[in-house]
Amino acid sequence: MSGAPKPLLAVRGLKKHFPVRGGLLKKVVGWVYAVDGVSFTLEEGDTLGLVGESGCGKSTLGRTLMRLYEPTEGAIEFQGRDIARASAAELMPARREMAMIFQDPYASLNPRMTVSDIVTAPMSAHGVGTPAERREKASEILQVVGLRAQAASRYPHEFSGGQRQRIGIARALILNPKLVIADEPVSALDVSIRAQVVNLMMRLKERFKLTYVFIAHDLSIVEYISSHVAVMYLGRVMEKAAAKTLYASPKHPYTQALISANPVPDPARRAQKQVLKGEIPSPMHPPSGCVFHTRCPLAEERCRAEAPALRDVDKTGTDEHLVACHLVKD
Amino acid sequence: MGKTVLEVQNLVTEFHVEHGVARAVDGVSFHLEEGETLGLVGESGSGKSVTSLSLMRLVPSPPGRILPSSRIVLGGRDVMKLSEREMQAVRGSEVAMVFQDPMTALNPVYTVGNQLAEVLLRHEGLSREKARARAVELLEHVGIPAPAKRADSYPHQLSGGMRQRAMIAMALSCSPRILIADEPTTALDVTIQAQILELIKKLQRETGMAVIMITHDLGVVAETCDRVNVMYCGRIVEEAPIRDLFAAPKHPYTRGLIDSIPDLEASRGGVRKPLFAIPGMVPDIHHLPAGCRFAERCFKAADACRSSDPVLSDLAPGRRAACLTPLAAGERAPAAAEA
Repeated sequence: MSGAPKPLLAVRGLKKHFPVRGGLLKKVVGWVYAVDGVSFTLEEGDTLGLVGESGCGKSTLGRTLMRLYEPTEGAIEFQGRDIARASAAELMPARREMAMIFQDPYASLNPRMTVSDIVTAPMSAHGVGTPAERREKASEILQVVGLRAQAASRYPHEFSGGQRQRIGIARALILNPKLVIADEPVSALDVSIRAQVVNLMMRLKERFKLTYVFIAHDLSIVEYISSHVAVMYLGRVMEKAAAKTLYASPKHPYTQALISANPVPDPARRAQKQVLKGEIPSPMHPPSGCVFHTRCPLAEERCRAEAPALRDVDKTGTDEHLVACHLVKD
Repeated sequence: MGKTVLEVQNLVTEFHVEHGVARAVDGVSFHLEEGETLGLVGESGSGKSVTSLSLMRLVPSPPGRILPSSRIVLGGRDVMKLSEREMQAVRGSEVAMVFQDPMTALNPVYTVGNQLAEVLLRHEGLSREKARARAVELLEHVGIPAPAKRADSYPHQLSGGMRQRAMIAMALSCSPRILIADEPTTALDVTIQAQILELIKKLQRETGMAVIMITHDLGVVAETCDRVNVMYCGRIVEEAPIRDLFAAPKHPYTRGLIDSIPDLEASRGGVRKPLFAIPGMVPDIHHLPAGCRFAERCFKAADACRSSDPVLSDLAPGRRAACLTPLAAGERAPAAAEA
């Protein structure tokens, strides 16, 4: 967006490669190119949806943004400062402003800690408040996320999946962060509970002026919650645009196929699907050229040889519409 | 269509656990017609998977037990009266099953080809050589590339989508009349899900088998099913032909489920419907309320709903609902109010 203030988050050429070790001496025998050159910016107050299938690198990207994984290459500018190489001490102030919500509400809460200790853990980690203040803050934030204050003294196993996810959200919000990275926050929940949590996240966003990175494989949920959406495939961004634009006129053949494959919850609109052939290649051996060419119905010679750059094809002049495809005309 | 291939009457399946007896399936009745796809929809704990395991008499016992008063009539025979030996012949050749996670359903120490051939040796009495050739044929039929090579692969060497294809090949190896697909695409990516659903449809067209599609995903239901049974807390709460179910659900739970999923197509057309959240959560199976099990979450619940337990009753041909005050067409919750 032209004339907008500095973005809250600007990512440039971010890469995260994991070594694969094998043999007796555990030597590095290959690399998983989980995130392989991702760039995007995120304005304050926006919600960026990251979609893609398993192995596309969306979760790795989320964790790398938080520096839960060390980036292999590239820059992560948060509020104008590059944190990609910051030391642990330098990272602390940025970390206070960033929080994460995880997919599995069973695995992400320590079963031996009380809910109060869980949600105030970020306060303890950053040395914020006295124990009494933390307790008070805990009961306050629990009510904000729709739990009773009495929940504070109980343990995670006493709660259902949806309630646990609320606890995870309370923990993420307790330090009043600016940026929240939510990694498949509703995928493990039942349909009726999913809507409760999505609505809660949208209300909290308004109330606390949050900026979200919302990672999910469910295109409908992402469309619902996001202002902008980036589609990932094998560690790269294939297309990024305002949510409305991306869903109404997807340019990349992969985005088009994803949207077509998404089941429509209305039998009156049953239509022939555009079914992609083949499977997602291994991120250990990404295809040459455009990584999507092995499944692309339109692939040409050039696609096999040359990796397309992510470029702006927007004609309306309102917002970027980035596409990485040789075959999309400017 | 028309001929009934499976009739279930008053199925009750209980599990004896520490805290007492849990009735996972509590008086379920439905039928399946030749060649159709019947959806069994519900959230976790609704009893949809236990229902399907009960049909195959695969409920582990103990702790599970299908009450003897249950009737499961398959092609004119009462499954409950069959010996275990007779039951083994039914499984595979009359009813076959595909599970959510093919990794746990396939044996990790045998190759896919061997497992397939084993089924053919047992049920079809083929020679080892013929069974092997047929196995490769089946793998090819379900769209596995290089089937002869893949037959020698172990399950872990296949991707999730390929494993599910192999499972389907195994399920179809004895040409069953009924295929029970229990969340067959839940573990798969959306482009692979589309492939697998397409494959099941294709095979159904070719063989004329009936399919019971068990899923929590209303999108999958809308795209594959002819008729649907909606389950909640161990019971069927609504039955309807697919279009009627989505156009005018009669049970407030069904209405809530439909309204709680965002509709991508509609929002692409510029209509963004608000996401409705059903308040509260599924009651604990050990502490079920006295009246309607959905009453505490229902926007229409009246006093009568909390005291008397509604039975599944006929509303119109092919339409049933277990609700004292079924919804009129277009009736929905007043607002997306939620705690």
